[in-house]
Amino acid sequence: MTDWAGLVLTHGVLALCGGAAAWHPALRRTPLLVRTSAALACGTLALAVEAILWALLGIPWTTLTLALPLAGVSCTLALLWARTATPCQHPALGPSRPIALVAAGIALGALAHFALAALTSLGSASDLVLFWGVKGLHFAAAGGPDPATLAGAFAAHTHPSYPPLYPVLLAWWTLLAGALPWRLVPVASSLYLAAALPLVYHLLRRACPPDLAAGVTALWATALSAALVQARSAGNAEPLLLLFVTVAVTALLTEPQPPAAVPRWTAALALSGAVLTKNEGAVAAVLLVGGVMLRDRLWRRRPAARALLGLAWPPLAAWTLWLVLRLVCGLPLTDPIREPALVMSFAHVGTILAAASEHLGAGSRGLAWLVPLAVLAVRCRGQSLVRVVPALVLGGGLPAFLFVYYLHAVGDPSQLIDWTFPRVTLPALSALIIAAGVATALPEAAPRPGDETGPPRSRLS
Amino acid sequence: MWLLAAALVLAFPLRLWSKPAGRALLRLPATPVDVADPELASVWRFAQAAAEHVPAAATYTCRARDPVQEMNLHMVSLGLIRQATALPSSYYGRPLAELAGRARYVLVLGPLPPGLDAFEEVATVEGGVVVRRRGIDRD
Repeated sequence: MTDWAGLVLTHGVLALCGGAAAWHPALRRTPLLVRTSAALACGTLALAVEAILWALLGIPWTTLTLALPLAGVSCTLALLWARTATPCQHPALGPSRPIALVAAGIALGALAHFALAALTSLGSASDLVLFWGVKGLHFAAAGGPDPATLAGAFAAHTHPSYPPLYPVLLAWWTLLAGALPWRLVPVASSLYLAAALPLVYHLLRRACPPDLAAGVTALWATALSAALVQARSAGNAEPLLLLFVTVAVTALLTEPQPPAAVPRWTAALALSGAVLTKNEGAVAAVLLVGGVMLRDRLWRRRPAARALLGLAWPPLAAWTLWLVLRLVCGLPLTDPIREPALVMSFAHVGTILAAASEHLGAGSRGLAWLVPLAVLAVRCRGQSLVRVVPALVLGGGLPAFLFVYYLHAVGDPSQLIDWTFPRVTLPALSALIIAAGVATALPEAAPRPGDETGPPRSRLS
Repeated sequence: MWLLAAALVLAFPLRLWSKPAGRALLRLPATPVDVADPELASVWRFAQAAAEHVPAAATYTCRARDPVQEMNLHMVSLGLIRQATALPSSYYGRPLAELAGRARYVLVLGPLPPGLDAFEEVATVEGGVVVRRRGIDRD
């Protein structure tokens, strides 16, 4: 099997394993690209959850033990959902033809940039060859999370406490294709970026007019593609994290009021994926849930607890599953090569601010950050800002979290900031772009007076 | 406005690929990190070439002049030399001479350092040398 065939097969089978999502009543009438992207994202999440469960039950990971149960569950769910009625969808009207063409051209250009940067190794991540790929190979060879290696004295560099979704995906690739094609792994990252685009557009359409949704999606694509290359993240876990976090943010900002079951499931599942992809995913999940709580308070909505629980329990369950596996396998619960918690040095403040500001270029001399921030500052007031509070909490909270994290650095934190800041702030950039787009749309999509489904009057308005 | 902003942001990558330096990048790399991290790419090339000279079930250790490079070589080798067991010479700069002393093979990134009299050269590959403890035909 050629390396390219392996790439297609690996992700194709994964999309089939998550294929039930394409028959979910909420997605069944959407375009094929949306359904395929949802299937790929769900398949990736389902694979990680299944792999953890199998590791706990002592079932070795093979192509059959991983693929067959997922395919069976997926087929069953697809059959069940295919028989249920499809709820009324939002108008299928697309953007005007010139806007659609320009937006699609820009998005394709952005994807081509990222794919080229991955293929030529301009935007490739060193961490792929230092530990992500190594973990994937070890997992595949051991038929599981390989606790003997990960808990070893000389495994600290593999970050054994990092969530398992990405190495599980690489192990799956190795098992299915027979080998890990190192040079093609970064190229697969462009698939995850590409999968995010139809989902973002589809979710934005719930709150935005089609032309606006197309424009925001195009900006998201160019900004994140340039930032991912600048942060040398092709082949890292960041593209997958971005996919999950962005879907969650967009679903939460565009959900109808009061939240129906399906939108919260979308965000909840996406947050579960984020939690299992990177530790920053857990931070993003906490910030987003906190942001939704804050928004509910600002909307003075009382019966929010149930909807909030519906959002929080799946990522919490995913995190607990990973915690249990670490406890059972004797893996460290914290990263052994990171600094001890709560031992901070405030002498770093100047260095952190200076070094961090140097890394806000995002491959576009800061334009990717400036546009959403300017839109939010100039055009958004009152109710429109309240609606996007969860994204604002994430957009501000993640850099704040990083700031506190860098205060823990032993010695000069500059190198740590160089390594991590451009990558870890990507979900914040994504959230701010989506927030700016949705907040701009709100005057047009604002509920009519007396509309019971609209958000209550805000304290800020 | 959004499309205009998107086009402006896209102008940065377009400018990159349209310049001669950008066009020069348009080739398949030999390693996953050729352009992103040339130093790590040279470590990769050495480890990949050295892997052919380390037999299955052997033990090996990695040596380099710079402790950071030595650590990088150790990490990269774990993904490329899957058939053998690594015994690091150092770990994040902490010397592990006793552990490394048990290794049958030594992958030396760069020129041979002194003190390897008990070893014989197996192969000189791109970026370094693979040596084996004398008196061992195979592991």
